Amino acid sequence: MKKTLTVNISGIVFHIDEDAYNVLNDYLQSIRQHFSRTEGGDEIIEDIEARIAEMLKDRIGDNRQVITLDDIEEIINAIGQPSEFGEEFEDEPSAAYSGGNGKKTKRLYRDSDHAVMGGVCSGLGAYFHTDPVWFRIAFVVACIPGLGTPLLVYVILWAIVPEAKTVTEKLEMKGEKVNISNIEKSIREEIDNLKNKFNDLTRSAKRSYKKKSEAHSSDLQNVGNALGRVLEVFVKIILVFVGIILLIVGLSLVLAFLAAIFGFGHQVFIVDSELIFISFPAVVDLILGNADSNMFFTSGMLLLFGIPLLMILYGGVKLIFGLERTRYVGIFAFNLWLIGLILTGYYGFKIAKSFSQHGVHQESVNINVPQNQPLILDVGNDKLYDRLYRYDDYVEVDEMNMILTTREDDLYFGLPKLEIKKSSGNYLELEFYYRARGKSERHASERAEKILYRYYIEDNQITFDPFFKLEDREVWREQQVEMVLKVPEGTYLQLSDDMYKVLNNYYHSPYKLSGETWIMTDSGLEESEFETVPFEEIEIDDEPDDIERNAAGSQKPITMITFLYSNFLQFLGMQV
Amino acid sequence: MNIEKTKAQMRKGVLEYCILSIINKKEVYASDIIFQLKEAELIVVEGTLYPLLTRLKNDGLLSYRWEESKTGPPRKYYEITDDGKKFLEGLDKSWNDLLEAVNKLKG
Repeated sequence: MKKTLTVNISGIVFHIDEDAYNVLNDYLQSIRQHFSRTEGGDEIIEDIEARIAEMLKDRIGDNRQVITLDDIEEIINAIGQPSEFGEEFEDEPSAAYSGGNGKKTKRLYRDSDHAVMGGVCSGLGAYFHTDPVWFRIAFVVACIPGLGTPLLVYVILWAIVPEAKTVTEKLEMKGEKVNISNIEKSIREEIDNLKNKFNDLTRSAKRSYKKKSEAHSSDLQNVGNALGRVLEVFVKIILVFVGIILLIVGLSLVLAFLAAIFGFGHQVFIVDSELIFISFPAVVDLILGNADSNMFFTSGMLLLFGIPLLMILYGGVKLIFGLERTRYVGIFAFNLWLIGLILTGYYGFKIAKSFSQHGVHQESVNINVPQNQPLILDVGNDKLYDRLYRYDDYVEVDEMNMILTTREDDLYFGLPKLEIKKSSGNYLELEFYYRARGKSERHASERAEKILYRYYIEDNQITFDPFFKLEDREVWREQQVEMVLKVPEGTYLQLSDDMYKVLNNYYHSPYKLSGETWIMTDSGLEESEFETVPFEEIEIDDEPDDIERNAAGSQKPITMITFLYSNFLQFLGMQV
Repeated sequence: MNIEKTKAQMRKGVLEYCILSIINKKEVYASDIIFQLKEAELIVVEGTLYPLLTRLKNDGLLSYRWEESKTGPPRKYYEITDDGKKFLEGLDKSWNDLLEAVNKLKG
């Protein structure tokens, strides 16, 4: 008794013994493989199938019903093996296999047909022509003293060693010569794997063809002996680890970088071991201002720093997954990086130029002080300013006379400086020097004129604002406010406790001057015993803002990203 | 020197010429061609023919039509095209030249 199958060959139904079916199927697959890359290959296969159907029909008379193995073998003999079809047709790439130079390609694959777990041991067994049982025993035995490390090795091998799926790969696994007749031999052996579809086969044929040509080019893969192969596996493991590290580092840096550029991150300053979060985009806005140059400069920076980071990532992925070498990725990335360099360079130069010239805008005010009364100097009581000091969420840049706060919408505060000098004449005068930089002197002085600074003169009292601001959307070009108070000899000056905030004097420390009464003498300011006069403090209330919001802002938690990002910036030496 | 190999190469060289000549006489289908070629001992296995037919057809030297068969699958009947005829004339001439040249050389 034999099992039969029903098959449809070229539209005709046949009953066929199972063994005969297996042989016929192998045969057809070997033909498909042979013609898979030939132009019109499908048509050739159809023709051959039609011929097979015709021959089978001839052989089955009226009294026979089932096709046997003998029938199939005779037909195969008549039509011939693919290797006999004539190798020298120039459009048959399969000549590349069959004409082979006899070099053995041997690669480590997982043998899933004989697998217990992932087929690693059976693959090793096939590779070394040994019973896989020895490898299994070795793995299990090694796990006891090795504290399970071999298990990890096994899992890694499982992940990186490809499964031998196609016939070519199965041949390579055992190290047999890859040519058409060996593929057929293998197909005959492998009756379990009949269900490979035509598409799978063509695809795998292409892939194995590629792999084969690759194998010739790579030194590592050409190491024919087993030791070299084992070494290769270990190198691969190391590469994968390096890849994972690269991936993690690259990913964190990319995230941090994007976060900073696009504003979901904050620049971190460390002031007296406290962390201050300052918005990087707001700083960029302050310096770049103008929308398009801002955009271009930011994109330039993005490319300049982002591309190398992405390449680190890409390298990691490539190492882990063993992607094929792609030429154009590198060139493409390099070009993008160059664009980034050019954009950054161009706008960097433009910005640098806009700092090149100094400009001054000057104003002066005459002040009349009634006889025998001191001139009272005070600093206005500004809620915002007090709050900044109280919560410490600002960074003071001394050389620039400015502070940067954590508030994106109120980032910049300029600090005015007051100097007290002896007047050459007999009048009291307050001079203002507004300074700024620009691409030309005219631009610079125009910009200086736009500085927003307030002061209040009432009777014998001058109240200074503790800081100056820039106009909306104005860019920062090292704006300064310098004031010179020219005081005639014999004038009493009563300085409030807060005056140190604006004072800038060569001969006395601002803290010493504040809160005392002074008299201007021939040799400068001298302490006097003048009775202090009570005065009214002016409350500056320019922004009734809720304190809670600000307080919450100062407690923003530090994240891994901001931490990495700040370190990254320090590493690059581009701390703002 | 393997004599079988040399013989096979010579056969292969004239195979296309022979196929075109067979089809030139009358419309035939693949099995007819195989029968004639086998008779003439020009081919060993049938598989050789199919790639050649497909290529000649794709090059425009042959065309075919389908014909139903009572005993099997539908058959492709091949016919020579005008291009094929010109091609064959060229081959005829070079075949005669070749014969002449070989005979002359053999003296």
